[in-house]
Amino acid sequence: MRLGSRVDVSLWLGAVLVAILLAAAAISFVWTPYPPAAIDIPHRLAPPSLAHWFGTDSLGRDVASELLAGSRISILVGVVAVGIGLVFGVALGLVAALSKGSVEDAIMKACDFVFAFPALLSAIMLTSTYGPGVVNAIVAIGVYNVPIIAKLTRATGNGVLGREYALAARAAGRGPVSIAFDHVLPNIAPALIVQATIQFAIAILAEAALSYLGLGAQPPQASWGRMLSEAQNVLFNAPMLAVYPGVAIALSVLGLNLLGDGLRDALDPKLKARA
Amino acid sequence: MLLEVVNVVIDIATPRGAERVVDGATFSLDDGESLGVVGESGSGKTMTALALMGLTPESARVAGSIRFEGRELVGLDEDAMRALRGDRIAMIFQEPMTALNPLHRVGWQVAEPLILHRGMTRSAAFELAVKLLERVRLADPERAARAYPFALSGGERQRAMIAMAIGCSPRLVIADEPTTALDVTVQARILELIDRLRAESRMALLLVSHDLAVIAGHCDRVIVMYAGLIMESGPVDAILRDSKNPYTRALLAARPQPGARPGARLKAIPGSPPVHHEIGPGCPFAGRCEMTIDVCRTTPPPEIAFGAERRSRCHRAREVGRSA
Amino acid sequence: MIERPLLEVVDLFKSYRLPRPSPFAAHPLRPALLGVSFQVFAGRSFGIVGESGSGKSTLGRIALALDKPDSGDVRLEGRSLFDISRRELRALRAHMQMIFQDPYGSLDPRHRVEKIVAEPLAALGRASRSEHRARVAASLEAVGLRASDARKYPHEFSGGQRQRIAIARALITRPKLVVADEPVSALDVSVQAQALNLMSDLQRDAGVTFLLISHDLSVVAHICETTAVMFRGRIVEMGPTDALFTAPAHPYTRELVDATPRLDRASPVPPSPSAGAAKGSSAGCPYAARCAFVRPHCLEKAPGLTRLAGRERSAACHFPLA
Repeated sequence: MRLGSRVDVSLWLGAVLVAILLAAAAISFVWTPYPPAAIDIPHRLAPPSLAHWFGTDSLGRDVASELLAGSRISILVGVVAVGIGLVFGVALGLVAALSKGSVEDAIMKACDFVFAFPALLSAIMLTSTYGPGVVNAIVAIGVYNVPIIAKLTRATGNGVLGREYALAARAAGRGPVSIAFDHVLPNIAPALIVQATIQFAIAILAEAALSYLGLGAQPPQASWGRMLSEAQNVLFNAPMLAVYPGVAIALSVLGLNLLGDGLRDALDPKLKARA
Repeated sequence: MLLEVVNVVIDIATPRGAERVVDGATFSLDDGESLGVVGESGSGKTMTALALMGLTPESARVAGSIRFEGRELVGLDEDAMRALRGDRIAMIFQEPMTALNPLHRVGWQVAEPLILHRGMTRSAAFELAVKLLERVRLADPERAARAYPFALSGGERQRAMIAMAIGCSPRLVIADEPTTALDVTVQARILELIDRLRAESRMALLLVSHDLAVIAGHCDRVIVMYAGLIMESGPVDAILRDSKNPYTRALLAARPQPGARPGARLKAIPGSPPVHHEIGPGCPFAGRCEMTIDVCRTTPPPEIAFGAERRSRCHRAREVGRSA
Repeated sequence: MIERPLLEVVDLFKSYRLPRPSPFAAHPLRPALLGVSFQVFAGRSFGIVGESGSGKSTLGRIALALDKPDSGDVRLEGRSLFDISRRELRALRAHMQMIFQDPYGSLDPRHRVEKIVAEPLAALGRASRSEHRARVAASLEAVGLRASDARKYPHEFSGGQRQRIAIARALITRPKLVVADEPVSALDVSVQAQALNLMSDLQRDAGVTFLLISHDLSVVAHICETTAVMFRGRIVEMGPTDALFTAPAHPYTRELVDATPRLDRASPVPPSPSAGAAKGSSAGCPYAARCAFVRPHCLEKAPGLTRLAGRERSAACHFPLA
């Protein structure tokens, strides 16, 4: 099998899945079959039909509409949490890689300190202390991304700084900051992109977990995690109510991981030349 | 005849399709003889050496005949091949640091072939390993045997690897660029060691190198490879004195000389060694060769014999050196 | 009128700190340079020959102020490289550039050739983009490549071509001094010759003086008028290249020359150290333990680099061979 075709499959499949996710969120701003929060007790736990494509949940809300609206939260959390991780993590990692010595050690020890706390537990601690809700969930998840990205940036950054072309740049007279932006960042970008998509996927899972526990998105905001939590109560009556949000989460996570792999290869100039 | 290689062709599967890295290698080697294989990158010299040991990569397909001690090695099953490796045929690699396992003491690594092939007990094998390390002139062989590879210098590690190779008194030793990674003073001593061991034990040596001068000093015969083809083969002195192949001549002329004057121009070969998929239907050296004529580009060059021992693969082999 | 040297290296000392074996022990020091001094004059390329552990690569880096010595100085046209501000140093870098050994590692794989070759110009901050483009084109053509190659990425070129790109980068600021650290070791023989010819031509046509660092005597012989031989952080012999290699004065130089494989000579058996030189003492000559010509005095006192009578040659040996 040609290497090229394997790369393309990842990229396209991932792109398609992520596109569906984004489309769902976009569409949900403009239209959903029913208002996602509209309660309709007489029609609760209805099976799929033409009126309700995926049926209704225990309060009569249209599942299809909830799925669409829930995607908004997932994307929001993913983007912002990973964004926080990238901005602060790359900055810290670059500072560590460029400073070396005690500054580098201090930053890495701080990262280790954050790692010492189990991620989900920390998120639960933070949200139960400062109150549930999407914003706090985002911050809790985002904070955890920072040391992951920082460590990755430092490690790959050191690798680049040890290469001869970085030495050549110094010999040419470039300062450390311009070397960081011009040589380090482009060369560590592939690793960061892949890590970012992994963290995005983890963020979606974490948000779902928090919402499942009641600490994330609060009603009437629709969230896949909350749908899972509510589906627990009616698991024997309507098991499919747990499957729909679960599949939505799984497909989103899969799509992001595939996209990450595909992007990393697509951005590599060595493979670009073959196209 | 200890080793007879006839028309060995090696193809490697790549995303671009099958690439022929060795195209019809034919040579032979007898007990106690030394043959040098010289070539640049892409010449196929390392792949040829690996094929003799059955160590070509998964993606490589080897065709042709390699007869060792009368036995056909091409297509031999892995178990039988493994019985030969380290026992009858041994290999010395270029990078002693990566060829030695950093997690095992040197003595045990030297002892390993003895335990495997000679069925010795661990303690007996270790004792013999220390003696082998002494034979390769390692200072303080006891200490070296108990040391880990990182504690030894590059030259010492290479000596240890040689000890590992000769442990079972193999009939054939293949050395793939054994000194390229070493300092030149260390290189000289290692090569001298190899010569001495050969003289003591009638081992045959196949020495692969990119450096003609290394081959010149330590081999009786040489084959010159370029882009998978053997361009010339024969006794070393004859080829150095009066090569019948334009590539060999160009290689000799392009080599920087120790006694040169500053500013002296070298007779460089234009262009660079071809990448496999760029080679046309004719001679791979066509275009870079200053004796190129039309037929060189269209037709593969024939092998022309000069006496019983010498062969040159070139359309114009008979004219080479004439007008020098 | 005494000519002022282009590059002057004065009494360089440099040691590296190794990780300590236990938290309470001191950091062991690995000495790299132990008092190295020499002068390079414009138009007369200078070679540094040595094996691993000789300190030659450290010397190359310090000569370009990419690393700081523990003590000593490096002066470019009389100006110290270590006694000036960062801005002044950056400006001075226009006059001195470097070529590295690894043609695959010394070019950023994510940059196009144009950006790579123009980097020293970009660092200086002068000149517009179009001027960059013009000078990149000129530099590429000067090394035998095409101006259109500027749009490509490094991986589209062979090793020899990449080394040319590295040379083009080194030349773009029209430096007076180029430090070349093993510039041809990673190249095939047939391509080495092209690179060496190119360097010869540049010496002549572009007025570049090379400080060429190599383990290979033949390479140095082709480019450099004067050569210094280094052993364990010290210069042990220095003088005109051809005389140095045909009639070496220091036993180590002789060992190097003898050990270099030659086509025109059967490989000589390297002289083994004589039995008396089991372990060199710390006070004596650092080469004594390996020296085939060692005498008792060598173990007592370390020889300094002294000028040999009546010639342009210095050797650090009590009993020079020539």
